[in-house]
Amino acid sequence: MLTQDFYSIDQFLVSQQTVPFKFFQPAESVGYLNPGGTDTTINQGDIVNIPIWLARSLVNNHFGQILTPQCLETSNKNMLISDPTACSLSEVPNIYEYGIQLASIGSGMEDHRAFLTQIWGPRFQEILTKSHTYNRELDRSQISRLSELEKKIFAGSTDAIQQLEDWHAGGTEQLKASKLAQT
Amino acid sequence: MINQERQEFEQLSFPEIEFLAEEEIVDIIPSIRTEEEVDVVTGRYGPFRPGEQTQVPLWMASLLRKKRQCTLCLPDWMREDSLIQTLNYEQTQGQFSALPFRYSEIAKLLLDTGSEDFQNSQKLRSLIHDIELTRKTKLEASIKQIERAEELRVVCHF
Repeated sequence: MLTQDFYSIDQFLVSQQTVPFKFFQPAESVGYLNPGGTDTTINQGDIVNIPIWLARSLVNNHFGQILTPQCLETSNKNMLISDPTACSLSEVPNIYEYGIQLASIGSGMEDHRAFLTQIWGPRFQEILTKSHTYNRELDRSQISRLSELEKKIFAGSTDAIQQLEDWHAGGTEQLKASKLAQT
Repeated sequence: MINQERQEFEQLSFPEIEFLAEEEIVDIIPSIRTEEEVDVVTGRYGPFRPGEQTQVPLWMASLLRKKRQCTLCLPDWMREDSLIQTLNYEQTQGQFSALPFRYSEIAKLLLDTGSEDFQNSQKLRSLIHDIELTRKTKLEASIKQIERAEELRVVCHF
């Protein structure tokens, strides 16, 4: 499960992303949550896109049910599962964090965790493999297909490999105070 | 904030890891004589007798070798036949062989400092490099096991 970090800006921003939510009960004076609606009240059975943090609270109080978002619908899932390394996640850059936050709510969203695990393994392996042969001038298109988390991992991997090669080669370098000793 | 501090603590640079590896105890043959023990933070070493093999931390061994006051000795795991055996094991078995935790850094320090003390230092470097590559390939291949994990734990350290 996602490690909950109250201070994490990234988790906070992901929790702002919307998810379709079906209301079991009418909700008065919150019609503004539905941009396309004209009524000030959300009626029973209405499906409205609301932030994940709000959906979590409403699910816990049995106000409604989270529906499967478009990016995690069966058709998109099947496309990703069929060839995880070929698909681009540029349109859903926070898919992992988004899916895990949904899965942590429960309410029928737990299956997304297994799906994310299924696509994560091959893509992560591909990232590690590609980071050894990365050419900054030629491979930008490959990076654009990655999600935000994958881009960070790719950047970290290429930096680490470069540092390892520099360390192996030896030579002169600037001595820096260890992070352990820095204030 | 707390997460950021933890990230900086965990991301040691390679020179820092090399510094930690210098605490490894290795064998040397001193060419100097000391009457008393050398008292340092991590313990007492010596007294040194010329030609008498003794054990000191790697940082001390490196310092003495640079001053040409000792000869470095290869650890058992770093002998050519042991490395060949280790490489064969890594290439044929799914598990990792038993090597010191910072074997790569220890080997680099020993070979950089005392290559003249060893008969086949280039061969040893090549074997160490091959072992590193084999273990890295094995790690990457083991990622497939994540597909069978029931839970996905995402802890972003970037």
